[in-house]
This record gives sequence, structure tokens and C-alpha cells, in this order.
Amino acid sequence: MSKRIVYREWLIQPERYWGLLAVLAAIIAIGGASALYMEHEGHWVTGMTNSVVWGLPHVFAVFLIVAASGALNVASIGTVFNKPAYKPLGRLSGLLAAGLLVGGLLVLVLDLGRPDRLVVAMTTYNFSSIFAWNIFLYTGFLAITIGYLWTMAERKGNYLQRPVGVFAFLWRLALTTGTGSIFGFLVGRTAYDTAVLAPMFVVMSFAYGLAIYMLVLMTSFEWDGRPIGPKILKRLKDLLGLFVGAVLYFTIVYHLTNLYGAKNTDFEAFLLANGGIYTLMFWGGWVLVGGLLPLGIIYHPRLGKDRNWIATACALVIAGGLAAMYVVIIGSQAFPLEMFPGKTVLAFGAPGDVGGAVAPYTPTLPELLLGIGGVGVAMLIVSVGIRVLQFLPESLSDKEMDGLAEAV
Amino acid sequence: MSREPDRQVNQDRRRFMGAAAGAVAGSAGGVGALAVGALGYTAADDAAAAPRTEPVSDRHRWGMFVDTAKCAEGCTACVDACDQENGLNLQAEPHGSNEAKWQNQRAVWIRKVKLQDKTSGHVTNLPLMCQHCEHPPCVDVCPTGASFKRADGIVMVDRHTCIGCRYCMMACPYKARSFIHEQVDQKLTRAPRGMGCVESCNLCAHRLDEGSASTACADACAAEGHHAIVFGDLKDPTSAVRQAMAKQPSRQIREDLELNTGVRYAGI
Amino acid sequence: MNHNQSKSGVRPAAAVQWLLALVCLGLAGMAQATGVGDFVVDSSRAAQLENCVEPTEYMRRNHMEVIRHQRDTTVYGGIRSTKHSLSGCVGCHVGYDADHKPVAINDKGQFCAACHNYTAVKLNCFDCHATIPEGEAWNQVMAVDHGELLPGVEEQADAAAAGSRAQ
Repeated sequence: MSKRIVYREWLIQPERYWGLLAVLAAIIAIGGASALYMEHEGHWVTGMTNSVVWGLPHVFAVFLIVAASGALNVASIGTVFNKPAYKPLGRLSGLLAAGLLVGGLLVLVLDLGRPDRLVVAMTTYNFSSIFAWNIFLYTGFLAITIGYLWTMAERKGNYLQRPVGVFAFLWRLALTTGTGSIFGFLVGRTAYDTAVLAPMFVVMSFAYGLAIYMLVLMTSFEWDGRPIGPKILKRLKDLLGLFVGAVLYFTIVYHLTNLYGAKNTDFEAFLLANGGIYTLMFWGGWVLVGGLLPLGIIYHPRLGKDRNWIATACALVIAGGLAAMYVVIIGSQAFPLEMFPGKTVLAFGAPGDVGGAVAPYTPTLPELLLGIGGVGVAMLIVSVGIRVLQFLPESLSDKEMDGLAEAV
Repeated sequence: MSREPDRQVNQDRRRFMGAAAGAVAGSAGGVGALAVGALGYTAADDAAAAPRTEPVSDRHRWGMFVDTAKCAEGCTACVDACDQENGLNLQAEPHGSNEAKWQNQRAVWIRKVKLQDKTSGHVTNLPLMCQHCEHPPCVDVCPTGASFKRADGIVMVDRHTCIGCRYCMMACPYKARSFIHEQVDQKLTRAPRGMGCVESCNLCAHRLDEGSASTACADACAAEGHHAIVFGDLKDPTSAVRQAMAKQPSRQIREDLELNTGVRYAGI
Repeated sequence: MNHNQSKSGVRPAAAVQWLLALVCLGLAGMAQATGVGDFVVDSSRAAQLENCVEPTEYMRRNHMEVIRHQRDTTVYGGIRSTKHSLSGCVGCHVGYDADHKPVAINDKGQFCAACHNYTAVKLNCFDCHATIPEGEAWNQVMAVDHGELLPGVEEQADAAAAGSRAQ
């Protein structure tokens, strides 16, 4: 019989565990209160307007949903691509994916104008809308992930692990493509009208999901005194480096495609040179913090071996990811709709009404708190999950991993 | 018969409705016979006679023609009329909001837009509202189907099923749609409005349903003597809007998207 | 039959008794509700009329269905003249204060609110719809005034069905 992986509940001290839960509950309560406030007052208390209709909550929601899909990647590598070293990591990967998705969806739903009509969204569908399809993709993803977790955890279901894993993998690609397409199919908007957006979202999901996964793994192991060997850590961080590099590559392709189309040069100039906060977010957040810095750390001969630095690299990828979402979602709405080529818009509606000029958007506190609340929900699900069920392997030390590799 | 009362309507719709009710009762048979027998079918007859008794059909497609040369600089008659007609002037800035942001948050159905040609410097004025596309992107993307195109070509929102996701606003190339960001205390019966839903120009659908083929903006423009906006049935070759369009070339805004808009412009 | 049931077992009999008790409670509640809500507001137009657009009993139980049918007919079909328009409800049932100014129909004690508060049924028509008749388009009230009232949506459907059967 091959060497078995031993999974154990999260065994940190009760005070620490309940303390963590209390903090998360507080974050979630504040997020919930923000949502109630926004719903009660109306969206005028946010920075969102008729020009920038999707704001900070969407940045968080889309980020979480995209990352959810990427977080499941680790499990896929284990089961679909048969890498034994990733097998022990699979369960946490599934749990994290489910948690992130629930968090993201909650934020998305609570930002609706009429969240009380959610049942309408669940019962009336317009199948020409990619949004409606996404409702199925998201709920389906949740169901498949739970099934996938079952095949990993229940020995009777083990034989199904591979087919379910493959299915989950394909579904996940569809989900991220679908999320990317929410933006990709908006023909009226310069920034979005490109097919590169969907594959770019897939690659982003790999990077952001893995970064969150690594942070959660390292933190939960650290708190519980479980060992992570340098070998598995190196594998993970090399993979992260690959994904981050791929995001940068797609970023270049995206902008080159836009630059190639002559009509998009104004938008590119806005994003890359004179867009103020969006230019800053692009170069400083998306490219530097989310791309070059983590790559530098990951492939640095000394820093790349240091756990704290690796964790820092993960955090930077996450921060950069949020910045990238901000640029993609908000920057492209702030950029004026091009309705009258060759003409300057001197006036657009009453003074103060925006058209033909960059639309202002300043996120307000409730939006931010709602977004963070969604992250809180994801973390709460993971914390409770690993505490009460056997999600975490007892050890990921090199010795353990070598045994595993030989056994299979 | 239909076009004459139409003009009276512009002055006093209420009086018209009373009169029309009687007139139609007396002459509906005669008009019908005339239309079918002598002139063949003309759409205007059954559109602009009496309150609707049959569901709207695709025999008509309502639309507008805007002659930008006639659209006067500084005139906001159409915007003001729309505000009055659809209760948009009743919106109140919430306490604690800031003015600049509010201007981007309040609902607007029609805007005056002023353009200048980058090369020649020529200045053009035009009213911009929902373009009532034949293939509306807002309808395509709406997850619940709340954003829909009525059989007679009017693109509107069924606010009973709108969940306020604002995807239609992302999709619209004309910034035609508004989200209601605040509690609405005052509203008109003919123009329901509530927090958390999206809305836009509906070509004064309530007027059409009453049997009056006119919109507030077109009437106001005519009352000012500009006649820059002509409203009517795009499917009826004899309608005022088709006649006006036949006289000079017109374009759609964002023609490249091939949405086949119901609002056409001359001089852009 | 009741007798047989009680012979066959204690439980059904008990259930029947419970049911009866519940029905009695319900009737009592309804009687009280009628006490609270059995009014059209005196100052409203409805107070001068014999009946609502349908028999009162029918309207009490089915007004929401009736309004919802007309809602889709109006939104999608553009028909505003059937007798079941919400705007007609408001126009006819709205009360007026001493200065002859209309009082919002969902204000405390007014026609809609009186019953809905009593039965604790949330009413969200007026999230969007006007609560006083102001700037009305064509509706049931006007259609009556002009003698052009159309039958309700269900009646039209029934008539159409009957017509097709006749053929």
C-alpha cells in the first residue's frame, strides 16, 4: 500500500481560533452593515454614478471570483495532471475556492440596486446575457467543488476523483472565461471590446488564486506548527512566478492589440500615460507591485528561499491584482464613451453631467468595507472548514513529500 | 383625420382625449373604411386615434429624426419638457450629497450635446437620448430580461423585474440609461420611479398608449419654432418622420456597431 | 363523515378540531380585519360608488393578482384602459384632506396601508408608483369617464377562449 497522507483538523489553541473567528465576524458584520446602509440610502452614498456604474465592490467581487477559480488550480494539478506532490494540497484548494466564490458572490449580490429581488434573478433568465450564464457557472462551480472535495475526502469516492477533477478543471476555465466575457462583450466600450480579455482573466485567475492559496497555506501551517518543506514551497513559488510572468505577457498583448487598432490609441494613452490615478494604478499596481516586484523576489537567489519574502511576494501579487481589477473595471468606465469620432465634446447635458470627458470616481468607505467583508466571508469559511474537518495535511515536510513521490 | 388632432394634442392633450373619445366613436368606422379602401393601410390611423385597446405590435416602429442644423445653441426646451413630462424635475438631491457627484447620479433621459469638429471647428448641437436600437445591447446583456424592446420598437425597462445590476448601463454605447441612486419621494403616476432600478427614455410611451403620436421633446422643440426633432412611425412611408428623413441624408451615432438605431441624425 | 373519522382514531378527530379552531380564529381575525379595514376612505371617490371594479369580496382576496395581470399588459402591451390598473386604484381610492389635497394612499390609516399594516403584508408597489393621482396617463378612471373601459385581462382571455371554442 502506498504511503498515505494524513489529514488533521486545525489544532491551534481555542483562544487563538475563537479570536480569529471574532475578528472575521467583526469584519463581516461591518461589511454587512455597509451593505444595509447602501441599500437603505441608495447608491448615492457610494462613489458610483451614471458614468462609473460599477465601483469598488465589483473590483473586490470580480477579484474574489477570479481568484476562486484559480485557487482550485492546485487541486487540478494534483488530480488532473497527476503531480503527486500536489495531492496533499488538494482539499484546502477546493475549500478555499468555494470560500472565495461565496465571498465574491455575496459582494456582487449586495451591491445590486434591488438585492431583495435576488429571487427574480434566480427565476427569470435571459439566455442571451452572459451574466445569466454566469449565474449557472457560479452555482455550478460551487456544487462541483463540493463534489470534488467529497471525492478527495471519501475513500469510496476516490475513484471518481479524476473525472470529477477534469470536469471541475474545465468548468473552472469556462467560469473565468465567462467572467472575463462579462466585460469582453461590451461592444460600446473601447477598453473591453477585445477577445484577449477572456484568456487574460484565466491567467490572472491562476496567479491570484495561487497567491491567496499560498498565503492561507503558509499561515495556517505556521499557526499550527506544521512543517512545510522547502521543496514544496519552491514548487509553489516557481509556479507563482510562471503565472505572474504570464499575466505580464498577456498585459503586453492586451495593450499591443489595443495599440494596433488605431481607434484605441486614445484609450491606451489614457491608461499608459495621462490617466492620473489609473495610469498610476496600472504601472505602479498592476505592473510593478503585482508583477515585477514579486518576480524579483521569487527568482532572487536568496530572497526566493526565504518564507517571509515568499509570503510578501504573494501579498504583492494580491495587491497588484486588486489594482489590475481597478484599472480594468473602473478605469475603462471612467474613460469617455467614444460617440462622435473626430469631434470634441464641448458640452454634454447639464453642467456637471459627464460625457466626452474622464468621469470622476472616488470610492467611499461603505464600498470598501463591503468589499473587505466579502474577503472576511471567504476567510471565515476556510477557518471553520479546516478547524472542523480534515482539510490540512499533517505535514508537508520534504521527507513526507519524497515518500509520497516514491510511493506513487 | 389623425394628423390634425395630433397637433391639437400638443397644446392640450387632456381636451383632446375627451374629444377624441367622442370623435372616434362617431367616425372610427368611416376612417377605417377610408384607410383600407382608398389609401390602403396607413399606420398613423390606428396609432393616433384613441387609447390603445390592442397590444402593441410590430406594425409600427417608433423613432425620431433630428436635424442638427435646426437644433439651436443654448436652447434646452426638449430637456425641460422631458423633465416635466417624466417627472425628472421632481428628483431631489439627497442631504449630504455633493453637487458635482449628484449631477452624475441624477436620472437624465435626454441631454443637449454640443460638439466641435476637430479639423474644421464647426459646432453642432443635438439632443441625445436612448437611441431605441433594433438590436439593443442593453437588452442582450440584461440577466433577467427586464430590459426589453416593446413590439413597437421602444426599448424600455420593466422595473418589476429589474434587479439593479447596471449591466445595461455598461453595455449602452450612448450613456442613455440612468440608475436611481436615491429614495424618490415625489413621482408622477405616468412615470413611476424608484430607488435601485435603471431607467431611460421610453419615447413617452404613455402618450402613445393614450393615442397621441407625440413626445414631449418633439412637441417642445416645435413649440419653440425649431422643429429639429421629428417623431413618428419609421415603418410608415407617409409619416412625418419618414418624410423628413427622405429629404436629407441622416446617420446613426456609432453606426459601426450596426445597432440600427431608431433615432437618426442629420448633420453629424 | 366526521363521526367515522373519530371512530377510526383519535388523531384525525383532534386534527379536525384543531382545524376548526384555526378556522374560527381566522374568521374572528377576519371579522376584526373587516372592522379595521372595512372602509373605503370617506373622502375618496370610491366612497360614492356601489362597488369596486369587481365585487368587493373578490377584490379583497384577489386584488394583487388582478393588478399583476394588468401590469404585464400595460408594460409589454401598452394597454392602459382595462379596469384593473393600479393607477386606477390610486385615483379612485385616494383620500383627501380638509383642503381637498390628496393624501398618499400608503400613509398610515389610508386605503392600502390600513389593511396591509394590519395583516403585516409588505407592499412595495409604491417603491416606484405614485401614491397620489398626479400626472396620470390613461387609466381605468379616465377610461370610465370617457366610456372606454376595457374588460379585465382575465375576462378578455376568457372571452377569447370562449370565442375559439365557439368556432
